[in-house]
Amino acid sequence: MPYARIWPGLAVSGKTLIAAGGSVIFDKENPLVFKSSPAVGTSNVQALDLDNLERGWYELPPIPGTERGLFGIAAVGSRVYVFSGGYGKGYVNYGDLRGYHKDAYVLDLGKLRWRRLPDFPFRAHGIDAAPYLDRYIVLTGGMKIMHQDRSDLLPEQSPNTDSGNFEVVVFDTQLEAYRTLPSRVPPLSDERSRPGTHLRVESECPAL
Amino acid sequence: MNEAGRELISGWKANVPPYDWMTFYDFSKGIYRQSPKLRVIGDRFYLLGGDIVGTVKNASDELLVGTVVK
Repeated sequence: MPYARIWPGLAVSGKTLIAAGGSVIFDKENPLVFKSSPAVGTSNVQALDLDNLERGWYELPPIPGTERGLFGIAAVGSRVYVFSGGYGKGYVNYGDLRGYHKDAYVLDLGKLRWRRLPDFPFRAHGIDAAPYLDRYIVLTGGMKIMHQDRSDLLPEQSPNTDSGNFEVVVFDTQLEAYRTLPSRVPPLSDERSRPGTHLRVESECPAL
Repeated sequence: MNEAGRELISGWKANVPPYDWMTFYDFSKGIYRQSPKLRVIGDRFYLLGGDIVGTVKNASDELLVGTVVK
């Protein structure tokens, strides 16, 4: 890749890898060494065609809006979908200097154009996404950000309403609409377990 | 959470607002999985791992399996 990055999204369309967003440090003298500070968020998108490795990584149009990391990304056919995620309001990655996106976009790899989709049902941070049946995108995990992020409120006026996201959201790429499945992902058990042995088969999801 | 983790979070508390989940998360809401990996194989969903700031383990070694019923 052109430079080291953390918290990016990675999607696969055919034999093309698409890396998007995350945080990077643009150090021309040492581009492959990542330092947490002063790393900056990015909305840059690069692709690698596995059938044309000689070309190397090439640029695609950046994700609209500001920088984006820890978001949901998946490809269905020649379209790449991006959902929610977070961004830094400054170099310090905590507290009210961390912002969250609710918007969603699709990149048509044939037209090389992004188009805005209906907003994700909530601001989410650290979700993951996976395509299903060449039509749906399933998203779960991460945090559900519910606190108000308004400049006219003091921090004390924004209750601690954020929680883990245990909902399973399905995006229908044909209808371009979301649906939340009635079956939720259970919270992580706090029981200690030996590494590699903790496998839980949970309740069945209804048909999509 | 180990001592180093407790020290790290105690340093955050004075500098972050009360809604900062990374510092003040109420684990009675359920332990979250930050940045897990989700994949679908056939009609089964596999949710692997995740980052948990402020718990004993700090990370999940769990593989969760969900099934789509047709």
